[in-house]
Amino acid sequence: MDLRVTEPGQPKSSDSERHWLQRCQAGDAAAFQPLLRPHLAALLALAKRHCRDPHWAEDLVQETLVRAFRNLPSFRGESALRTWLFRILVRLASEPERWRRGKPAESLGDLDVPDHFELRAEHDAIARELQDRLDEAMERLTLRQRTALHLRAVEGFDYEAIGGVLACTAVAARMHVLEARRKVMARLKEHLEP
Amino acid sequence: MSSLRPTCNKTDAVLAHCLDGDLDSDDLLEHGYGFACGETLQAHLRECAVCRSALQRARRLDAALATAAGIDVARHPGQVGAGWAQLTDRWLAPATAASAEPVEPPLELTTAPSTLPLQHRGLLLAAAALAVVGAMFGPWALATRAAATPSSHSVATATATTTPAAEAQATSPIPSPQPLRAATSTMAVPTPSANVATFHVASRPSTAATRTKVATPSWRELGVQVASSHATPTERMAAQQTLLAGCRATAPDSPRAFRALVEALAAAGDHDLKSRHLHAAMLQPLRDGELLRQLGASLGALDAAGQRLGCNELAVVVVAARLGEASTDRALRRLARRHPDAVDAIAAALRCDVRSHGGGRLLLDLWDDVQSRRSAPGDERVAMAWFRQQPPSVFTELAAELPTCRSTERRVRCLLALGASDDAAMAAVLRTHMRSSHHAESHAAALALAHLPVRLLADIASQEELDGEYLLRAALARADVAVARPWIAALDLRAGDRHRLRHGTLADFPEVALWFRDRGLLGD
Repeated sequence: MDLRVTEPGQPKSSDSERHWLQRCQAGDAAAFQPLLRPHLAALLALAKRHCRDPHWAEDLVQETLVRAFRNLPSFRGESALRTWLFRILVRLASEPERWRRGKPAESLGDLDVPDHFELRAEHDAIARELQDRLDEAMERLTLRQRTALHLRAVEGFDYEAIGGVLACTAVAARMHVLEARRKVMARLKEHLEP
Repeated sequence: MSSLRPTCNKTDAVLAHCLDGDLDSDDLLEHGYGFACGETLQAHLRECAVCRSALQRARRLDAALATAAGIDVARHPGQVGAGWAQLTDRWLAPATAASAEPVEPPLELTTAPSTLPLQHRGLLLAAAALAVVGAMFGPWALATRAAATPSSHSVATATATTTPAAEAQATSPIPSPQPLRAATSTMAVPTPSANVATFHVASRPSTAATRTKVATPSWRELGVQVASSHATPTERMAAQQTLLAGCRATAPDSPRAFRALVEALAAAGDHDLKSRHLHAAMLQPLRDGELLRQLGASLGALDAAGQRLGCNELAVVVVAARLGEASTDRALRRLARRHPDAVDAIAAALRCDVRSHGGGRLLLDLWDDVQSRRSAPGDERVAMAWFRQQPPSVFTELAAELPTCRSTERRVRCLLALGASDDAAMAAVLRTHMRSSHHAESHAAALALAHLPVRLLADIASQEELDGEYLLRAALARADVAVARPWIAALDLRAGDRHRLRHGTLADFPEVALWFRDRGLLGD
């Protein structure tokens, strides 16, 4: 009985992505939206791993997109577009002074009236508790460890791809994931028990 | 405070192997795991409870991270007070508009050392030249415009972003699209915080940034995204959150959104641990009172309809079966009394391992119900098939029910159902009940044992004393295990009896078992 998980792969470029990419690189700015839209949720998820404030996370995503658009002509397709986007985001997250300007918007706090569907508290409480602990534990990791674990667990990237994002070897990426996992598991303890 | 958790020095190597794929020997040695090949680690894992527990926790961690990221992203629109369409618009439009800001040295982003082609260098030089032109004429243009139409700062900014750029473009021999607009605008606004004005104003909902219409996906498309195994967990959870918002009673199109949600959840799979956790997480909101009522109403409508169940109806049945709520289970039982064919769909739904508990009991209840109404097939074999390929938790429940159940009929069904298991532990339970003083139970246990996989039976045959165990020998003969062939040959059965031996019902089995007690003993 082989207990290993299915080995995830490198993110692949679809035909439509290649099409939009070519149009973008040929100078068609309108192609940028359909090219990047499928990656926005993933970019936001990674940005939120690096910035707890949702407005900062948004700004990080937006700055990533600005850089991506600006550098798209030099993108050679040697890695997947998503890997490249993550690489930009991680670089920016490591150098916040390059893109953070001003203060994030203040939350409305108690006056905030949500216009979105809210899950029932009794079912959600345990998940929220786990998520809070998880966020806390992830925040204590180094940027590289946090990114590596996120890309592995959430995006299912393989180590080549993680290495591509972090600009390191696949073996080093593996060690980042392993170390990150060990630290987070040690922090979460009973929250992960059956 | 020191941890009391026992440790094992191979845990890291086991986690690396099981979660992260193969490590070659050099890697293992290099990272201090010592020498261990994959097979050794697998064997160690089977024996070491510490490593198994660590692996379980690591997998839970991965699943929790994926789920948390999905929930986090799905909640984001609520946190910042904007819908997804607005957000994508907000992020993407300024990116294309502000892309040529010559404000900072670019990050090194290419996968190889960056060497810009000549044409790009030319473009950059042209852009720089145009930016200088913009810087010279921008304030003038702004002042002229402000004098002509006294308006708000943002209007002035927006005007400045278009007019000089258009002029510059018109005079430029190089075709250079929108990026130049933002470049000149940044230069044109004579404030120290020009970049902030361009960038952050654009990133907030109150701005007059250029908007591009984004197509809103239909409920059906969102449903496809929720069920898609190609989408990331984040994307799937985000799509589900939009569907859930559409399901609110006050939403205008709530019945269609709800139907799309149900069909999506019915189509979602559990092909690995992560997707199973994700599927379970996506079912969670249906336990909310309002949605649960909608689901119950849909089930009730099926019950009343009295017609053959179609795909849409079956989707409701599948989701209700996976949910595991007491009210939906009751509704399913009512439905199965009118529609016995729904039990097949329920059994199929439960094979997706997302229901935490109660699956075994539900199937057993359904079996009781249809049997008591004689609406079930004539013998137990079809009902036993409902339990085939069910998750291990179903059989664990059945085994736990055996000692506490007071009804003989139900205990017999429990035992028969255990025959669909693939687990040596369940074989041990059946072996124990084969020695029961209650004949119906011991025969049911023997018949169930005969349905276990041959490898488990071969293990039992090699370990047990077979001489006095005629029920065991009958079970092994029915399963056609190699060790039993001489006994069957010694019985010298006619074709009809051979058929009864291999395919007979529970009612036939006591008589068949007696052949192995009275007529043929170990080939004599």
